[in-house]
Amino acid sequence: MMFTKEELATGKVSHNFNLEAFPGTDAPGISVFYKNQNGEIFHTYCAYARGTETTMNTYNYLDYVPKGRDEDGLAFTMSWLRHHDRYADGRLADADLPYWPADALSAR
Amino acid sequence: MTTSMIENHKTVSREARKKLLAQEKQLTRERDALAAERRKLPWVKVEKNYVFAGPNEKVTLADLFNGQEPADYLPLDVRSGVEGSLPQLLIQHGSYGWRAGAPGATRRVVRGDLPSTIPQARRVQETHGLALQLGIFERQRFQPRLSRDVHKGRTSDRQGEP
Repeated sequence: MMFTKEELATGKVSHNFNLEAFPGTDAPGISVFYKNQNGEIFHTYCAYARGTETTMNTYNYLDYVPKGRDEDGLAFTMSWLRHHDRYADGRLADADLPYWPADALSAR
Repeated sequence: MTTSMIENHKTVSREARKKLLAQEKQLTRERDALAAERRKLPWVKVEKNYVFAGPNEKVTLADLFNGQEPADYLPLDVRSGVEGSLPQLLIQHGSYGWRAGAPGATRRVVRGDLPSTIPQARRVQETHGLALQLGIFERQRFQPRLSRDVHKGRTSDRQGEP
């Protein structure tokens, strides 16, 4: 889902069934629809945040091993993640957004 | 978890595994039950005519039920043979910038995550009548980088934002 700059400027956006602050213009989500034989469309389900986690297959593998996801010491979960072709240089997506700690920025 | 904690982990008999197995089986059954409850949820009729900026042109919500998307950057042999509109649609917005959750972002850890998921997506179109739309709205931005990987099996260069 995506938020406009105007929505973010209010301080709180509608996310994960709540009004809450959010540090960016887009957020992960899953939406499901059904189209019947008359062409009518129905929204049947949606999920956000950790509600989409079962689609992140890497976590399913990490949950089997002794060290698990090993994210407790990180500034936020998934901060180890990069775009698939950006592990070599560690370049951050949206480095200007506030959730990146200063040391992540300087380590680039 | 610190290294010393994990190195000193207690060792026990395999009976402990059987106790955990019972919990795991319970969770599996509870997950099935939760999925059944999810399917029972009342639907909300979509009255608004949503139009999205697709990779090449504007698409409506109804267009997204077309089973051919998002196969255009995939080799021919993993594309679905299904044509036309399917009854079910799942859209996953992947948050391309936030937390770096781009398509294929996790492939470095579990090699083949995306290539294994997308062919399966093709398959469920045929068996379940389900159109999966995995972040098509930003695909134009990422397609060149994904194409190089999928077709040539190598890490793309870093030319061209994003």
